Order: sequence, then structure tokens, then C-alpha cells
Amino acid sequence: MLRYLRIWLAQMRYSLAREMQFKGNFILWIIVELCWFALQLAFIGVLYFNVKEIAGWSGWQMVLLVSTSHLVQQLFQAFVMINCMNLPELVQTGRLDFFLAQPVSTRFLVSTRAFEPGSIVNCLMAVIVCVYAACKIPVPFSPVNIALYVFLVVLGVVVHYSFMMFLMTMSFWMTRAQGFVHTYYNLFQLARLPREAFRGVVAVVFTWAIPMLLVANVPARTLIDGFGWKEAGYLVAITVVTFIASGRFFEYGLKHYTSASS
Amino acid sequence: MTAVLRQQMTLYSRIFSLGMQNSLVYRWNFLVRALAGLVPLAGSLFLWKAVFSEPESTNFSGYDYHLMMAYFLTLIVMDALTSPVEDDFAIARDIKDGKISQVLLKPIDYFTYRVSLFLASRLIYSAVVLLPTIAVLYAFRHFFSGVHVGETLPLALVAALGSAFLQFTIAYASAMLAFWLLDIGSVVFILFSVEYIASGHIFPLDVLPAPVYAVVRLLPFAYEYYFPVGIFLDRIHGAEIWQGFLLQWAWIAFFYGLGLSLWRRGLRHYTSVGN
Repeated sequence: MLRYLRIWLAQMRYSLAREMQFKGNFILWIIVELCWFALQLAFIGVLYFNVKEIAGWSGWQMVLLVSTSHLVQQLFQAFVMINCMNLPELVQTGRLDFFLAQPVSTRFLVSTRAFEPGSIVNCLMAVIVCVYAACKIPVPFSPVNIALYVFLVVLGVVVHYSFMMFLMTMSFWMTRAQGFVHTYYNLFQLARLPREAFRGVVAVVFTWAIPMLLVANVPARTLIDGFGWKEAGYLVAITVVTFIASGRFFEYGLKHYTSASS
Repeated sequence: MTAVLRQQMTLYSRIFSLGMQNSLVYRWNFLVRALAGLVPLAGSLFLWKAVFSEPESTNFSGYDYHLMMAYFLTLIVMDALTSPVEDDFAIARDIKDGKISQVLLKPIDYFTYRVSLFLASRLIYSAVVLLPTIAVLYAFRHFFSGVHVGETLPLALVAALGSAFLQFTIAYASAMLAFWLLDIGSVVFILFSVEYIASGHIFPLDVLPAPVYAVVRLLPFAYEYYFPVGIFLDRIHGAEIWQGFLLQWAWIAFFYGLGLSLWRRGLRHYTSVGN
């Protein structure tokens, strides 16, 4: 375990050094994410310009939900997302051979190779907006409440990772699995919406099967109303299940890997 | 003169045909993309339903629930018909990888070449997503009960054609930055974020406070989605339509000129090795 942590830290140091060689690009990508975050907040502004409450969420509660979703997304982006997105290319070019030859778990190496420090800056922005919104609601801050919130946010990141990994593993059979990145982004858009707004089959599917309506809703609701066993318990269970299932699927995909021109 | 014109027509129709064949390779990708696009649409439907179920918002800046849903459903049709899919990145790749050398050595105009590929890709994309789109529109046809399709559709289609050209010329001009930048992704996504909100992609622009709306409708982005959809739903009428067309084509001319000027300047910097 400690060995894996050391490898991860070494890869992060390498990524940071590489990123700092292109400082302009590093700053521009931070601006990109800030623009998208501002856009989401502007949309809330437009909505609440006309109404006081949507599906039981007040304006500031909605800001907390959107910034929590942004926090989950940025954490995911910082540590693993780019690695998942690179998997199809590794498979197509045969460069995955290099990872298979290493004496550590291939899934671990593939998932942690690159790190995006710019997303950490955006995480801080999300945290600032979260705290501001929480103070405006106001939320009863306590060490337990905050610890639970952080724990649930981490679970949200793992759920995103598992689903993205599942989609990208398709590259062992398909040549254009990058197209699934678009699918993932579309799914992610649901995460920042209040789950009480959804009804019928869509609500069931995106709550219990593909839990996009839980990953940001549950941490935000926990911070506002306190711990809810049903949703939080399910989030823990689905995180464990999807993490193990995506790992198994990746191992299965590896068996179909035939390398390329190497 | 006629012979030259005919020769050019044959050339670009061949490129168009090649573009169609190339796009057909990705038909499943297109279908997955279109179906995945229904997820945020479902999100919008539920969110707006929740907004309109609030007692104080039966009228949201002149929109009722049906009209708002008709807006978003028309938007997905516009998206399928007019939005360039990664054309900017493909052009930037051509420049970065030196593939434009192949075009430069032939009597081909690169802009017309890319327009032909864009139109081919849109045609195939629209054909692939036709059935799911019709199915969605049919399922939600009741939202369009107040729309006078026969009266508004012809002008809306003309505006949609302008929208396609405007989106393409913006994508083309921004892709020209590849002559100077290693990665245009960040610039494209910053532009895209502004475009996303200012084009009416997440809400109709006329729900904005009047002074903000007055500014936003002068920007090019308003003529990408909001303008054609607004005409179709009769939110834009009378003199506003003609002023809109004037602005739309003025922006197309501006971005076409900008793209052309950047292309010429870029070629002065361009070096190609081993292509």
C-alpha cells in the first residue's frame, strides 16, 4: 500500500514538473474551468431571478449543490480523469505494453500516470464558493458534519472514476472509444441538478443504477440537513460495487489486448 | 469561365462525397453521441418542470412550461443540423501535423475544402440521428401545440443555415490559432463557455433582464441558436427578424474575413518538414 502511495506521489511530482514547463497553458486551462463554473453559477442566478425555490432547494442551497458537483469533478479531473481518457490511445498505439511490463497493478499505473495540478486550483475555488454558500444558508458546521461531507465527496470521485473507467475499457474492443467521453460529460451534467426534480424511470435509473443524482446531492444534503442513512449508505455500497466491477471489466478487457506494431 | 466553374463544382462535390464516406465510418459514434445528448435534455425537462411547478413562476419572463420545453426540443434539432463537431480541432490538427501541405500543393481552396467536409458531416449526422430525433419530437409534440409551424418554419430554416455558417466560420477562425499555439484546446473551450451561455444553449436569451439582453443580442453567439429557435417559436418577429439576419450575416462576413486574414498570416510562418 505504502509502495503504491510512493509511486503515485512520484508520478505527481513528475506531472507537476512537466506542467510547469508550459505555464501559459497551465493558466489558460484554469481559466477554462473558471469560465464553466461561472457559467453554472450565472445560470442559477437567472433561474432564481424569477423563483425563490426549485424542487425544495433555495438559491444558496443550489449554489452549494453546484459547487459540490464542481468540487467532485475537479478532484476527479486532478487525479484520474486524463488517465482514463488516455486509455484508448494507449490501446490503439500499443503503448500499454510498457505498463504491462511494470511490477505493479496495470490498472493502478494506467489510472494514476498523469496528474493535473490546475484542477487543484479550481478545487479551491469550488471550496470557497461551497463555504460561502454554506454560511449564507446557514449550515450548522461541526467537525463530524464536515468530515462526512469530505468522505461523501471522495465517494463521488470514486463513482465517477469507476464509470469513466468502464466506458474507456470499451477501447479494447472499439477503435473510437474516445466518443464515450462525450457520453460521460453528458451524464455528469445531471450531477449538479437537484434530485428531487426528477421523476419516474429517469429518477430511478440515475439514482440507483447510474447514481449521478447522488454524487453531489448526497454530500450537499448531508451538509445542509445532516446525515441520511438511506442515500449515504447506498452511495457507499454503489461506490464499492462500481469500483470492483470496473476493475474486473478492465481485467477482462486486458485479456483481449493484442498490442499494436510493437 | 463556365468550364472553370464546372471543374470547381466537380472538385468540391468529390470532396463532399469523400467527407460523407469518412463520416459514415463514425455512424455509430454519431448515434451514441446523439443518444447521450438526450441525457442533459432530460435534465433540462425535469429542472424546468420543477421551476414551473413553483407557484410564483407560471410565467417565466413570458415563457410557460410548454413554450420552454418547445425551446429546448427545437434546440436539439438545431444542434444536429448546424453544430460543427470538432471541426476546429481537425483543422488545428491539419495545421500542426503539416497536412495542409497536401492542400497547398493542389488547386484547392482550404476554406471551401473544409466547408465541403463540414456540410458532408452535418448531412450524415442529421441522417443518422433523424429517427431518434423524430421519435423525441413526436413523443413531446404537445409542447408545440401553440407554434404556427407553417408560418415560422421557412424563415427559421434560413436562420438555421446562417447559424451553421456562423458556427463554422467561428470554428475556422479560432482553429487558425494553431499556426501560433501548440494547443488551441484552452482557447476553444473558453470561447465555447461564453458561446454556451450567450447563444441561448442553457436558457432563452430573452429571459435575461432587458439591458443585458440588449447587449447579448448584439454578440455573434445569439445568432447561433437563440435567433433561429426564437424565430421558429415566434419569440422574434417583425423588424427584429430582418435586423437579426443583417447582424447574423455581418458576423459571418466578419469571422470569414478574420479566418482568411489569419490563414494568410499563418502561412507566412508555416514550415513543413517531411510531409
